[in-house]
Formats: sequence, C-alpha cells, structure tokens
Amino acid sequence: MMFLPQRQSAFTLIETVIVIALSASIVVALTFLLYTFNKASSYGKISSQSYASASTLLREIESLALPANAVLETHSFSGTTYTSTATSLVLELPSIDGSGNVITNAHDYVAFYAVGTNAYRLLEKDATSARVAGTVLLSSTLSAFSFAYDDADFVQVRTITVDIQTQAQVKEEVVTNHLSQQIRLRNHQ
Amino acid sequence: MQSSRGFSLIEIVVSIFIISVLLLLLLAVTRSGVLVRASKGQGVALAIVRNELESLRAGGYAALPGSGTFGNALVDTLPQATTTLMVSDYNAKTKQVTATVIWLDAGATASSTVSLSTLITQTGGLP
Repeated sequence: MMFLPQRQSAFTLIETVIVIALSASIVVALTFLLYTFNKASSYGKISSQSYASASTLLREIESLALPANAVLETHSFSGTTYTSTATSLVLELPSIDGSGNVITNAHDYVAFYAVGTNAYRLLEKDATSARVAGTVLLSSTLSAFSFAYDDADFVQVRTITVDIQTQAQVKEEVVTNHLSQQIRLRNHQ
Repeated sequence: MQSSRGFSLIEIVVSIFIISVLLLLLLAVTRSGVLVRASKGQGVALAIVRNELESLRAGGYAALPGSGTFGNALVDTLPQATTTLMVSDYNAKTKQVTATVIWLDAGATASSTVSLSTLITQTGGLP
C-alpha cells in the first residue's frame, strides 16, 4: 500500500503580510469614516440648535414688541425692578383676552434680559389677561445681546433694534450665529 | 484534484456591497452638512429682508428710495451675497417694494434666493 504525501496547506509569508496590510488599511478607513460621521453630525446638530435658539429669542422679542405700546424705562416685577438699557428691555403691552381682543385699561409687562449666556423673558400679567405669566429661558448659548432705541427718551421710543449673537463649541471649532432685526412698536401712542 | 485559486463570485459581490455601503454613508454625511448650512443661510437671508421691509414700512411712503441695493450688517455673514431692492408703482397711491438676497453656499451648484414683497401706501402707514 502506497501513501500519497499529504499536501501541507498554510499561508505563505507574503499572503500573511498582504492580509495584515489590508486589514490595517480597512480599520484606518473605518475609523476615519466614523470620526468624520461623528464630527459632521454633531456639528450639524449643535449648529442648528445654536441658530434655533437665536431665532427663537428674536421671534419671542418680536411677537411681544410689535403689539407693545411703550418701552418703559423701569418697571417693578413683584418687587424686583427691571430697567431698559442696551442689554435689557422692558415693554408695556395691552392685555388680551382668550380670543385675542384687547382689554381696555389693562396692561401686561414684559422684560427681556440676559444672565451670562442665558436669555430670559419675564412676563407679569394683568388679572384679566390671557397671556401666561412667568420666567422663560429662551436661549442658553448667548454671546452678545443688545438693544438700540431710536430715541434717548424712552417715552418717545418707537423703534427697537435687536441684535443677537449665539455661540456654541463643537470639539475644537466654534459656531457663531448672528441675527439682527428692527422692530417698530405698532401700538405706540 | 487541483483546488482552483482566486476569489469566488460571492466574495466579490459581498466586498463590493460593503464598500458601496461605506461610500453611501460618507455621501449622506457630507450632504447633511450642506443642508444644515443651506437652511442656516436661508434663516439669515430672511432676517435681512424682513429687517429691510420693516424699516421701509416705518419710514413711510414719502421716504421710499428708488430701486437699487440695500445694506445690512448680516450680508457679510452670507457667502457671495448680493442684495436687491425693487420699488415699482402699484397704483397712483401705492408702491410695491421687493427686497431680495441672493447668495452662493460653498459646495452648492446653484445660488439661493430669498425674496419678500410688500405694498406701501401713501396714507395709513405705521404710527
């Protein structure tokens, strides 16, 4: 009986080297892809959040400044006095009922101010008003917040220019958003 | 029997499939970045034209400028942005005002446009 020699099956050195090189380059490519994906998605998310917070703040100021009848120099909100300055705004606006009709001789008061990177809206309402009173955080990524008035005398102010800049950090990059809007008081007497 | 050397069809198909999924993923990521930038640009452009119409409304009929361009500090934040203001007669006592911002995002093939239009009358403007 004759035995055929068993064929030795194994990788040669060159095959092993090629396989290792290929797997290494695939791992590098995958890591790069994952890093790019992660960076792009977090950049997109933080950038749009930062823009949305600037936009929300501007829309809220606009929605209350348009119907306002005056910019007040100061007003006391349950004991705490807020002042209209280049960085804060106090408005007096006619109260409205549930269907949006103006209630005569009733007024709501609203203040916009920033503490650090947070922007707040404080609303004090008349007992008959349908607006919701309280403090609301409108933006938490604020970097600059300013109001400019068309007259030094607050009684005469008819136009407010709001300037908002928000800033957010994405890894080593900084995303900034800048919005600015002129608002004319529609109920100014 | 000599075993045949080389890749089989199934191996090639699987590897092509994996590579194309990776490439599609990369494409989706870069596209989403372009979309985010475009929507942000649109928001800024809208703020620019709204501000222009608001200040023209506040200025009143008599102070309306002629057609041309208009300035805004935010224009510089949009890439290659140009502004256009068109003022035309709508009727004897009314003018139509159209404010337009055109800009070209980096990586975009066509420019984007945001335009707003309003009528301003001789009487009954803002207080």
